[in-house]
Amino acid sequence: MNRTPRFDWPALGVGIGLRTVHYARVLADRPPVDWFEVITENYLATGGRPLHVLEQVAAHYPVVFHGVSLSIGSTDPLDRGYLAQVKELARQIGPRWISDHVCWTGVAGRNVHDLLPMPYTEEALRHVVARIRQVQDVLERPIALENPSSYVEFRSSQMSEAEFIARMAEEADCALLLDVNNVFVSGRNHGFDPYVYVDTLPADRVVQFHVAGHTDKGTFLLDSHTGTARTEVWDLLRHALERTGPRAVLYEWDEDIPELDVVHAEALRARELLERCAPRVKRVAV
Amino acid sequence: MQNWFQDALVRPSLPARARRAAAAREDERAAAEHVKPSASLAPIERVAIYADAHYARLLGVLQEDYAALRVLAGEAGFDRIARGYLADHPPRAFTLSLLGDALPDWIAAQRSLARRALLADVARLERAMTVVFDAPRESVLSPGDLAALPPETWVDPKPRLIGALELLAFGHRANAIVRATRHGEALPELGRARTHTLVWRKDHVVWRQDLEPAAYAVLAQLKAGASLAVAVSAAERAPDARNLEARVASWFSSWAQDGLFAEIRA
Repeated sequence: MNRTPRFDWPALGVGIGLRTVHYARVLADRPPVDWFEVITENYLATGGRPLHVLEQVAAHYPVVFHGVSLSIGSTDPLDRGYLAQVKELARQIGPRWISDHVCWTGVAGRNVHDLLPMPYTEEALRHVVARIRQVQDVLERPIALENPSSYVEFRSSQMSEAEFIARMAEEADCALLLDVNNVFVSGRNHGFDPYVYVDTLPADRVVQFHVAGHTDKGTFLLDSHTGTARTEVWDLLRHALERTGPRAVLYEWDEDIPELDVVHAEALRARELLERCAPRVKRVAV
Repeated sequence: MQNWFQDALVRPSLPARARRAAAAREDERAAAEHVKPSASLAPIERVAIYADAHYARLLGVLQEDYAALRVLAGEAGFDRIARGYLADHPPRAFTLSLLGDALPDWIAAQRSLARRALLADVARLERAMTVVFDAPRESVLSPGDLAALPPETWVDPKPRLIGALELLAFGHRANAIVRATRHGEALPELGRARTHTLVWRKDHVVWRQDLEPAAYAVLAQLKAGASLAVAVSAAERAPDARNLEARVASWFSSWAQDGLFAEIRA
């Protein structure tokens, strides 16, 4: 175990996702949220209100970009136009870091707007590592990639998802965003031990955690980002934080989104866990 | 493998059970070849989780962007439109705001679609609202800026309209229909009627306003790059072209207040 972070990125504290339904509240009251994560694509290709809101929020809070369109695992060429827009938005806003997912979102020119799982093969690993390096070269900064939730496992896989991501991070020299709810959901769907998964990842490369609620559909767990997180998910976060030390924690709530204070109250369950693993995490000056 | 998986999940979505009943043996064989079963789901059922979510996600975006069209077409009608449109126009851009960009034209081309001209008009207005919402930012002349312009500017002014502005001519009361659906009011008369609507953005808010034909004619000319004199001259062919000089002065003042001008060149 290595608790010394590989990246000199601030722990930030406990954040929530910036969502449209909370724009007015955030701008009017500036609630005491440590930081906000924004979906990058919501602020690209627009000169309207979302960008104006983001500028206001970034003036008062640390902001992190979280993308859903990098498609790092696709066999299509990287979308250079998309990367150029992300880079320009980052220049304007100054996010603490930029993250996306270990997944693909389309092939043959299509974009299915879903985070699709990859086969975990040696060939796919070489492919993804090379593309991460290209992305980091274009953006001129390291990126963080998040483990996906998934509902299928491919027969062609030659290693576990955790082994794939661990090797990917080391070989591409990128950071990791560890979504403990995704680990729990995929663990149940595929029958692996979520604690073994967490222990397989290089702790020093984890820069951020995601926590969220999920939905039990009977025959599988759905990563629905709704409601409160199950105790088992918080327990998994505690275990992960004991390995990594304090890191930025983000609570995701994307369906049936309640008032900001409700989301924030759920997120603040992470505060105690952070304080247990390290001295109090101070808010980072903007 | 990626081509197979994508094809499997973008097919017209049917419940997994119906897919099986609908002679999807080839689908099952392909899924079993690529995907492991779970403790409770067969490979094809696991793939169906993605397929069902795929259509639901795209349908949700179109429902949000075309809320009035949805009311007008009804749930079943809107669903048929969405399925047909997405089959012809699968998403390719990373931004979902472009998902429905070709829907108005697609509707207009569907000869078998009842009331397609009405539906296309409403769709055009809703698409214009999305375009204006996302248009690039630019500086806008305030009434104070206009007052400070040098006198020579007003000899033959050439106003440039802001980019976040769309002018639309309809064969139906599209704006009244959109307004009624947004306020949960009874729909207006749906029969044919020549209407003109201005859609623009001011202070990050998208506004809509019905225009008189002559006002539409002036703005259309200005949007095309004409000088104010040429625009007014062209408006003289409008059916309501009377007392234009005084009306244009009044309109111009309103348009300045509404932030429609990015620049006035001499």
